[in-house]
Amino acid sequence: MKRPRKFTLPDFVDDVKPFLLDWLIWGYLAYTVIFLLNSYWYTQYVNWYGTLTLKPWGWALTIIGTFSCALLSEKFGISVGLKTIKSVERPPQKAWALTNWGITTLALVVFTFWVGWLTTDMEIGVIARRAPKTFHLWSGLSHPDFTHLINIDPELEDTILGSLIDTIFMAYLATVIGGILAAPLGFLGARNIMGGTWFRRIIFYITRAFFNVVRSVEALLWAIIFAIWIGWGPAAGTFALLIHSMAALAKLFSEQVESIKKGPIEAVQSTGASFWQTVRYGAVPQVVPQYTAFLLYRLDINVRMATVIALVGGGGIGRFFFYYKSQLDWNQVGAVTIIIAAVVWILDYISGKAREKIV
Amino acid sequence: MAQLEIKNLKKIYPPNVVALKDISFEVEKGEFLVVIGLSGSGKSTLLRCINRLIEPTEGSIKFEGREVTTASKKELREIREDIAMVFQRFNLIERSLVLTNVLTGQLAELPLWRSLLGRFPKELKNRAYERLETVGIPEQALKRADELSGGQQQRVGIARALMQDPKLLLADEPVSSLDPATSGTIMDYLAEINNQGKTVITSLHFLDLVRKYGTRAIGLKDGNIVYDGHPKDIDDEKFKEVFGEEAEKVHIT
Repeated sequence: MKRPRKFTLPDFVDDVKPFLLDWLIWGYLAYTVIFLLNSYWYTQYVNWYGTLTLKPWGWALTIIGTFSCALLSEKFGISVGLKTIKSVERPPQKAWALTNWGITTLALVVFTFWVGWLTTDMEIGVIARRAPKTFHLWSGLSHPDFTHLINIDPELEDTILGSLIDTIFMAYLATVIGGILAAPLGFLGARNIMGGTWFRRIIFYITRAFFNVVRSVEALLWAIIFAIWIGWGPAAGTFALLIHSMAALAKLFSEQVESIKKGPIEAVQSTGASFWQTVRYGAVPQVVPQYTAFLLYRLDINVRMATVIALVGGGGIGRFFFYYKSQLDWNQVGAVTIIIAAVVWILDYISGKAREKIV
Repeated sequence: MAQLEIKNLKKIYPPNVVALKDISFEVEKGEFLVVIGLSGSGKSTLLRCINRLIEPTEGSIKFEGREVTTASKKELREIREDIAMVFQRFNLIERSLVLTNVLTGQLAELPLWRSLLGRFPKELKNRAYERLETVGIPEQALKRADELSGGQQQRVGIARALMQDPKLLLADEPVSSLDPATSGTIMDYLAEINNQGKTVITSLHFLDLVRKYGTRAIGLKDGNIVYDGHPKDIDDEKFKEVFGEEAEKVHIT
């Protein structure tokens, strides 16, 4: 009998995965321990500017050590890998944090926080100590200078209000075009729709990879790319927002498509409808409301992003912000900030209300 | 030649859950066949294998002489046009209009572009209204499907099935999520469809419904046929054999 071949991984992969994850966790724990040793002990007592360089045998020791820890953790039931990948049940009557996996996980969280704190030079005292430095900022905000709200600023050849409208249009265009492009991508990147045959599976992976890569590049970086590509100005900013919106929306859409109910799909299939008819009548009506909600949400995000994108030549109201800031004209910075905040707040409110109605 | 011939049908869900072991039976045109059995006995799987919503693992299913299990995509769509299905959870497209839901019943007859644009010819719309009249809810046509009550939604499900003008109607526990009174109405519609010469295969839980409507019953247990005969001939012993320990519970309701 011929029937579509399903794509499956070989069985042993499932057995190796938990172990690899355990090894990774132990390796990571070893890293955090070395980092902390470095930070507290080595730099003070051995060589205050040095770093802990492992001897060749140290590397071997770490690898063998973490390897055996990973091996043993399965044996003693502290394997986080087994817990996450094979979802082993936890013993009843025991709080989560007291299980063996719980302790390992907590150790991970705590050590990561500790290392992170040191890496980012976090310090609480500095907030209070340097507070007076921000005085001119607050005074600017409380005495905003709205001269150029409707009067053209000769340096920037535009008014604040005019550039604000630019910004909103940028966000709007980016959302509309990005949304239109994202809709089909959402379907092509949904496992349940594209999982059937090898051919569809390949398209699925390509689509997923495409929007994941595009999405992982920040809108600000896209703005730099487009500012070089097509020159400074609102068009570059729009393109940057558009590309990023498309990828981000496609990701959300595909997740939405993956969560649709199977029943209506079966019902449409059973009438003899073709694949695309099934998508159109079984899947699309189920996702349209969420799509619209995501679009509104994205418009909201895009307006916020459009204000920042000016920093790298994307045009819009951000230009005023960064220009006045560079001039240390805090009263005008205050005015621009208030305008941006007001617009973002109003939009957030409207899109929130609209989303409530739709979903 | 029987309308539906099932031979040595077997279904194994990966990795090794056996849902249907070795099922063979034939269904003549015009029968009202009821499949009974506990949850998990393979009723739904059996019904879904017939129109290949679920791929059978082994065996052969012949509908009006055409092999279903090896049918190409196009052939399968043609076969499905003649086999309508009604579902336990109605499976309507909840956010679409009732009318649109009924119209999806004949998507296969429309050219692709036309169906994708949602441009249904007037003639089909009239037919959809007729089908809604058949099930007694023409006034609900322009409401959203999820605004309707459970019984009304199942009627829409039946109207959608009728839209196909099927030769065989599969009904997978059509009344299991409805109250007893509504169940009766829905079953009456199925009986009416059956009276018009269409074959009906349905799965049911309640013996009184089985006796009232079925012309033949098949009992499934652990993926095997343990009973095949007239519903009236199911005595308490037979019933226990099919339903096991649960027998009494089901009897009361």
